[in-house]
Amino acid sequence: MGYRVVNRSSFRQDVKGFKKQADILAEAQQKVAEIIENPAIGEFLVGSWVGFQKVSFHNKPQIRLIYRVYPCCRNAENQSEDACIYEEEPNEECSGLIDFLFLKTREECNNLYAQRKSYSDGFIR
Amino acid sequence: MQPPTVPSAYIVNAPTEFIRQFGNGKSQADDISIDIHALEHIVAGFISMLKSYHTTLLQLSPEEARALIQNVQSPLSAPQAVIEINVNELQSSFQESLVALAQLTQAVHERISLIANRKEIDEESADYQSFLVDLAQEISEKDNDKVYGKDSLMALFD
Repeated sequence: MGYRVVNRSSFRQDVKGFKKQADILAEAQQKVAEIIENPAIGEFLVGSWVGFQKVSFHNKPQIRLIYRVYPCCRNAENQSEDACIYEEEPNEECSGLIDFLFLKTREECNNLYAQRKSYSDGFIR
Repeated sequence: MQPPTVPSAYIVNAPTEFIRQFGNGKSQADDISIDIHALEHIVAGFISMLKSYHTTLLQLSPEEARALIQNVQSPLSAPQAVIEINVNELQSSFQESLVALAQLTQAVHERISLIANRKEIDEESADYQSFLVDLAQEISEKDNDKVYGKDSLMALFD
């Protein structure tokens, strides 16, 4: 059973930031398509921490795509994290959900980290 | 290390060229006649160049940024000096462009310093990984402006 997908305004904003870099956008689109097809391809950020995953691609700058997978959401149309069960596989009664969170350069991640800035504080791309 | 070619070269030459073209060889303090439209064109070029320069900086390593500071730190401050001397004499619309240029120049300064002074980050550290998780968690919790569906997601890239 396929996964439903969701994107947020922060992700849409990140994508807009790469509008003038067609090569990066094309790679990002390809990666997103691959993730939708097989969400397991991403690296888990914390070994035993089920949820957030990272896919890195491109070089100079390296781009990081972060997403979260909910394997089984009973009501994905009216999605609430409460309705998602992490341990189960998608089945007839529930569907998986992929939540795309952000698409940033390695430098953006590192600068945010160095300054301990919130994603919403805003910074110059 | 190869510094960004066009921006750095342009910065090095711009102040001298600026004064030569519009100051007719007079000192900056003289009452010089200025072609506002030509200056606006020059400043627009500066701003465009600095934006490009800023984007390039995102790709620098700390070592490259430090090398860049040694190469262009002094010329980088020169356009700002010219702006401070002339800004009160110019038309308001042009002043706004100059202020934008000054702010952008400052932002470039700060960006270079930030990169050059940054300690090497251990991206494999638990602290860094935890930060990314916190960042994603913050988005997950606070950004509820969601759009569902594969088609709408893929359309973002078109």
